[in-house]
Amino acid sequence: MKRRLLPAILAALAILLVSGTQRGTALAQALPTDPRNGVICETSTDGHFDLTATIGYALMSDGNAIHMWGYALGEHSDVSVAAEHYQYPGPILCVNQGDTLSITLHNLLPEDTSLIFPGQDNVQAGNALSQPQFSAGTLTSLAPVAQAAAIVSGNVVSGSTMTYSFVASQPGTYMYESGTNAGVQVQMGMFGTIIVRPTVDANGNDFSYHYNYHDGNRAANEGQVAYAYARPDSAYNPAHEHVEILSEIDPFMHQAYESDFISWMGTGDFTAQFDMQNYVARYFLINGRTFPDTMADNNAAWLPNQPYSALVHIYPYDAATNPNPALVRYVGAGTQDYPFHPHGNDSLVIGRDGRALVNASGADLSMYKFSIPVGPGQTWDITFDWKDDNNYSSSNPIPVTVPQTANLTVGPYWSGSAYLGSSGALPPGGEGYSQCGEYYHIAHNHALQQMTSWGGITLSGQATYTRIDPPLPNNCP
Amino acid sequence: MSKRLSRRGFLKLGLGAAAGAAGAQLFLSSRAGSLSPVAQAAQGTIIPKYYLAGTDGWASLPGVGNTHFYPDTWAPTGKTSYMFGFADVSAYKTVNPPVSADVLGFKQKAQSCAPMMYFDEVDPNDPNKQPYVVRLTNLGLAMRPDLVDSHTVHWHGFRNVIPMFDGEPGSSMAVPIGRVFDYAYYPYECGTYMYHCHFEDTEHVHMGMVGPVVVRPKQNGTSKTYGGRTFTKFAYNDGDGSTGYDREYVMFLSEVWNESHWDDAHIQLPDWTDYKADFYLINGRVYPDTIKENGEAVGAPTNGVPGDLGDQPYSALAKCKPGERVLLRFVNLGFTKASMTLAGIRMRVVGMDAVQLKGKSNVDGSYETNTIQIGPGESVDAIFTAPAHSGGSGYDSYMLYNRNIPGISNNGNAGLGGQMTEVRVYPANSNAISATQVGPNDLAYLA
Ligand SMILES: [Cu+2]
Ligand SMILES: [Cu+2]
Repeated sequence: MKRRLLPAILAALAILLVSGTQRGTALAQALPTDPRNGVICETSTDGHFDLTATIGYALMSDGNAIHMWGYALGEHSDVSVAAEHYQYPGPILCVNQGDTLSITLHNLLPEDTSLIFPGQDNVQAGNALSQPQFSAGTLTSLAPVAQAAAIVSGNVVSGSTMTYSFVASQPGTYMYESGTNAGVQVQMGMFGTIIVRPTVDANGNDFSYHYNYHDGNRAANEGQVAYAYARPDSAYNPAHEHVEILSEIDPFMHQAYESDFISWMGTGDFTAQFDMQNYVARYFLINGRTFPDTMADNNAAWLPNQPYSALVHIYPYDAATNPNPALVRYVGAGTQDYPFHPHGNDSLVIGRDGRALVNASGADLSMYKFSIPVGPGQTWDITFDWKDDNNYSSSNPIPVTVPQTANLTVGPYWSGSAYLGSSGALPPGGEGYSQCGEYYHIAHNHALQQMTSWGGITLSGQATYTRIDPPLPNNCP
Repeated sequence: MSKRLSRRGFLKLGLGAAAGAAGAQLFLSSRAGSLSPVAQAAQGTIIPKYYLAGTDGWASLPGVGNTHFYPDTWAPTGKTSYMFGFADVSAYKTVNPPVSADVLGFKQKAQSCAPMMYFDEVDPNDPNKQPYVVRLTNLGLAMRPDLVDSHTVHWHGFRNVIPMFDGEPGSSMAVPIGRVFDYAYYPYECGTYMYHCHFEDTEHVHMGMVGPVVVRPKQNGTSKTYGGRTFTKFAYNDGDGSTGYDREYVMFLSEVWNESHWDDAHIQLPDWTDYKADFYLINGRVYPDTIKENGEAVGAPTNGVPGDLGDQPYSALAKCKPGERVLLRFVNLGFTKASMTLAGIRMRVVGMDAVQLKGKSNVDGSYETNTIQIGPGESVDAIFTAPAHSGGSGYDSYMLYNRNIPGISNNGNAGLGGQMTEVRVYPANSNAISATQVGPNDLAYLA
């Protein structure tokens, strides 16, 4: 049984869901185009960003469209334009260590809102230390606010702005999120990721980020090195840098806020109806998407407001030709631990919450784990690589006899061969998504009820795959 | 400007990753001769170490009953809850054909938890190394002839595995009813792991197709002295004996949500996002059955009817003598985090996720605690030293239980149950337990 929420507000606002090509702002881009997989960094020549707090819509793989709150990159005064540019999760902002990151927050929402930056020191808001806000002794916000929008003659008119800034003093993975009515606003989608890249360490060693990106040419992007921290042992392959933001949605909560929003547009009076005591998450997402949309490319056209792929796409480890692992930055944006389990190999945990895993004297404390329990507000930096420990091939065959295909249940990502880069027989009429004998390994939340979604739909939650292509050169498209 | 794929293009290619259009279609059209019975490899016969049969069955989870979903009114006498699981048919691992009448007799005899499997670490550089084979067959579900679910064995945590032996059915294959598949493993990394079926895994894992796997280190059999005691069994290749132990016990954690188990027996489907466990198990049993011996037939009653533990063979009792080092191998394949507290004895956590707690630079990361937090899909290795005995001829009891309090109730009822067991310390001269452990978990066949 499929329960469907009607995105009534879409009609009310005449938002076109297909406007993807309009994405992008005057901000400088790190890369001339976005890669198909891996992190899409928003960068800025002066470290300044504009974010507009707005409503938007996110599409679940069961077809539901969910009313969201969150951020559109850039300054927008028209709510329908802002909603087109809305993205879930919020834009990934990338700066270098030592940069001053500043964000001016514009507000098209019916509530005051603000930004907080857990893990950052000396955050300024409106040119003063960002401090919790009190009204008559009652805490009203964790940070100074951009005031709510208003309804004037039936139109949404922006509220006030607030500018936040801080020096990004330590490399690593961080979050930004709402500090106002945070239990509701963060849950509605008001969070995003900040990546701080290392520069030069205390001894003058250069760890700064240089990635020579070739659009549409995966092979040409290989063989480069970047660092997660100002440490040689945090080296990774920048062609395989990924952010995996884990979050969840209660569709009833979002539906209630949608109806409140519609009332607000009619009357100018915003009253939240949803009792958070009744909160129950029903969708579990990676990068704002549910499986199988998690595997789709960055900027998939049918997900105009969920631009981030969650497919990790790598080549096998090889000491000589492919020594550097992928980097995956897990971000916990939900309300609980998500015990994330990438198949195929252990993950090497090299950092947590924006600090390398080292002891007081700097000795490495990184650890291999097969479960990454990403808790609320945490970030986990892991490196991942994979190789076939037994170098199986048709000339070094697996040591067991495999039944003929008709005696097996064959999965959609199976190539028909045990060997990387080979393909073989599949059942007649069977679908095969394998393109060039590549391997797939699933990566999923091991609280397995969260691998499902609302109404008992299995394998539609927090799951994605790691794709392992045969070593280069190969025949993969 | 960003590159975008059309939804249509994506759907044409199926669900995904492989969304680079032209290549995939070429590939699809090149598949001919699909039914040719080609054996991909045949190098003589490797006798499986374990032979598992996926099927359904029933468990006794004693509690105060008579809710809609518990106890299941269709359950055989002495049982309460419908399960999926693996039966241990290793006794028939050399029989040909593998799915013999004897093996078929295990239909509806699923074991809770699944058979414990122990392997010895393989040296990757050994020119004569042999793989371990785990054979799987699928006997179908006696209660659900309408379902034709396949099964797999996923060795959770096995490093650098190829998809064929990972048991994740999307990326490789699963075993239909009546068929057989051999998984080959070279375990190069010692430690505490787990395995489970990965076919429709939310359902099959929760229904009980879960068990522990242990890889013993190469260092076993050598003598190392640590803290004035000499050991020949170790959790890891520690080099210094610091993970040496005298006795070892698996504490395998799982959960049962009554509604989903009832639903599976009664041809219904739950909304998994409603998940809330009603029973929390150790080694496939709930307290007080956890403190019954291995193989004990009769468990605690439900509504006055004695429990039938015939398919729940594993005790969770840990027995030891003063001064002995005892290794507890915690594994959690439930869906919620557990907080396993050992009241009165501190444990030293020496490993996690089958990795000794020392960074790449050999910094000791082990630590002492009385409460082990362990999430779904994690394993923790903890060693304690048994305290002095208080006197007399009986044993001293120390409770080991889930401090996540709902985890020590049976079906939410008053009184203690669930994930709770005892560590029993016997007098040094006691004959009540053997001087050396007959095997892990006091099971000789795992020695
Ligand atoms: Cu199964
Ligand atoms: Cu698993």
